[in-house]
Amino acid sequence: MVRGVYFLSTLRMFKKQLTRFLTLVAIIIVSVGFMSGLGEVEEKINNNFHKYYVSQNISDLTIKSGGILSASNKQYLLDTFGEENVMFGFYNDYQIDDSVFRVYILNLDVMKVNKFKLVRGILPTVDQEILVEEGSKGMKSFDLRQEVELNDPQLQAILGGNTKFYVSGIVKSPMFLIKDKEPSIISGKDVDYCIYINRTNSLLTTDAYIALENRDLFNSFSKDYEKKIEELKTSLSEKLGVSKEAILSLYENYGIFSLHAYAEKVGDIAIIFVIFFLLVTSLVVFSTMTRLIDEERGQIACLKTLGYTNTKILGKYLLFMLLSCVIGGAIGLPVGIALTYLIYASFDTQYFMPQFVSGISITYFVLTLGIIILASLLVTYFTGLKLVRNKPATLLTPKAPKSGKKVFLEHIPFVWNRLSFKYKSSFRNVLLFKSRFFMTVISIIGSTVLVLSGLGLLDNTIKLSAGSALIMLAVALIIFAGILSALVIYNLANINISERSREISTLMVLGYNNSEVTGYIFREIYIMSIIGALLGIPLAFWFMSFVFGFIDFGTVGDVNWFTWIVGPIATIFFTFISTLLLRKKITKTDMNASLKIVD
Amino acid sequence: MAFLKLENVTKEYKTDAGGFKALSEVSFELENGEFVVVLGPSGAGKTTLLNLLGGMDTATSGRIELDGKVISDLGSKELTYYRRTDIGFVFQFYNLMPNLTALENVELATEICKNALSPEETLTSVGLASKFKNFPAQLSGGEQQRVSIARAVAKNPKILLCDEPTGALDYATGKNVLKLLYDVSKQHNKLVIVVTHNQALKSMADKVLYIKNGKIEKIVKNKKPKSIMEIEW
Repeated sequence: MVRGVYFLSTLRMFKKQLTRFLTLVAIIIVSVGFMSGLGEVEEKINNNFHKYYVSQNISDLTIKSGGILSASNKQYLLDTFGEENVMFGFYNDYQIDDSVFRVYILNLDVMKVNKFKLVRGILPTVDQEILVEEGSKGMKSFDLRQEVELNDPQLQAILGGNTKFYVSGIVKSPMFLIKDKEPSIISGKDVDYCIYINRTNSLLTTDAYIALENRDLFNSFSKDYEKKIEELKTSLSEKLGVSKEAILSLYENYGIFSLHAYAEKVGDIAIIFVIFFLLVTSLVVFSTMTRLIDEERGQIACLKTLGYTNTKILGKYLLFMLLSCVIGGAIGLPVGIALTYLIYASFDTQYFMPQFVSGISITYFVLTLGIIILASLLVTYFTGLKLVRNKPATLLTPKAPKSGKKVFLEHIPFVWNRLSFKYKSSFRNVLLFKSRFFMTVISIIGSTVLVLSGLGLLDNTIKLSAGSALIMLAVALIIFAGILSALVIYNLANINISERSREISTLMVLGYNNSEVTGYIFREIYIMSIIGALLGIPLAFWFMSFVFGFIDFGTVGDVNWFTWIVGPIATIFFTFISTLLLRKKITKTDMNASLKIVD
Repeated sequence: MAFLKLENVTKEYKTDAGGFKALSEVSFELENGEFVVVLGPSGAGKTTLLNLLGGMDTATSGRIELDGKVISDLGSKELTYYRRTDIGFVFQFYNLMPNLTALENVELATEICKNALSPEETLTSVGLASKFKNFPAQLSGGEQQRVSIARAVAKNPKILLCDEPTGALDYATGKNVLKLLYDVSKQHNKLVIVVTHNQALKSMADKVLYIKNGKIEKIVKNKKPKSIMEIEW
């Protein structure tokens, strides 16, 4: 029976605090969704490409010996790297008329390394047939069956006088990942076409394409990989008698290298903002819970006098917290997955992205939600414990009202005497409840800094015409930070109203009309949000300098001047929307109920 | 023509178990300058009556008229204006703004009234001349209630409504507060209505309204009200 009534009282708390509960859930959805979504992007890209590289057996090294590789050298390479990981052939870049052709001459029937995907058509069946790389923004292509004339003396010599070819198939090679221009060997020129010619003549094996057996070493250009490649370049050049410059690696593949550099930038940005989001969210959860417990002081006292244990009394609040985290997390996870996908997909405008592997990676999700849950449960428990450790008698007597105090402004009579007492009261209130003031202002500063940083990043990406993935990231940051900011302000304003229901009803009984009452309460919220928005500007300046330095991209100087105005105005706009939405809550306050209660 | 006149006033609350009449067909008349005590047990309808008189709630049916103005059919905006100008309310728990000084708490009310009295003079008249700049937390319970009374009086309202004004005060302090309210009624010629469950107060009132189960049981007129200082309980 006792259990039943306890359950009922818990249920009623949820009902009474529904707005606060839902706001908290929404904050966790936005925060966890953003953190897990952004956090997973780098890993997702690296993982997907890792799988792709393995499946295509991409070449880590290309040896361009310049002459025909000797049988013993070939054997050495096959023995060292394994039969399956070495392919011999020839490639060179040719300027033919106005275009640069990259021409591969390979045994296309046995592609052990750099396996391409046949997009359309068939593999060549006769000598006149060739394959051509699929077109993109930066590279041109030919149609199936189209005639291609390769008028180059060297090529002519190699291919036995033949200059006319027909396209039998169009392929996608892993060596051309970028959709932009890939630089050619001819200095200052980019590759316009890439052609694959099928020959098995061993006279044409001047190059070796080598894939390393240990695929995990690559790990998106890891330090170990770099070391290994350097070692191999040295040892191979000695062994084969070629210069080190003749051995190319993935570091020289602009497309692949820039892709991972981008992914790393996204990862760096993610780390900074995940930490920042985490701080803001924890702070908001912290103040929400401490203020909830404080408000329920009377009820806690009542349960305590009835002999309920501290754990049981606090269980209600722990449940409140845990449930909002679990629901928020459950909805935040798919939001995060969608965000990861969105940013991943936005790389598609610049790179040929392998298909998104929809497996769920939850490192960031588990980590961020775990920290929020742990921190908030601890905070709830210890705030609650501090309260319930009081003797019930102390709890039952109403909390001594904070003594009104003179604030610093009152010592400047010139200013103070000119203020209407409504402002006097607001200033005193704002400064009297210091912890409430600081928590509110810091939360608002945090949200303002996030919005400003998103805008600043967007300014820089646009100015530096960076990849659309970074633009997408900046836009996502602005949206998520904006929503978080709005929710934080709404939450704080909502709590403020609950805490002051008594003052509100007193004003109503005194005959204050709706706009006078709402003005009385909202004035403080505006004061705090203006202070937060203004302090957010220098902090965002400092934070952005740090961010741009950390990701080695952009400068604070490149942030548009009006961004510094738009950011704080957004904060104040969110405050305006929040107060608009909460107006009803104030005007609907029950005059009688609040007046009777000693809180 | 009576100053305050109630005719067949009924207040019905909708509950899950159907309608509940907190007040049923209540009629009475009161005059200006009277000190009236409303007596009755808990749940009799005292607070409901006070809420209707104070414009904090509206009657389901019936008619309330104050100083020639019908207030029972006012809309919510007009009711706000009515509370602003015609009603002074004294609360059981004082309901002062914790962050305003005693004087500023009185100003909180006078600032929005047209015919308000001087806040300084009113506070002085309730014996708080030396406490203008004190915040509520720096005042005793009795002093806080005096500020609350000063706040109600300074509005210069037509009626003063007091909801268990001594409920949170000790015996001696409570007596002083009641004396103050009585003096206000006589010196300012105001209708003062005090709601209480303290039977002892009936002998100090000009009129006593006995209320029970949502109905006026009886109205007793005291020819010679006793001074509060002579009453013991």
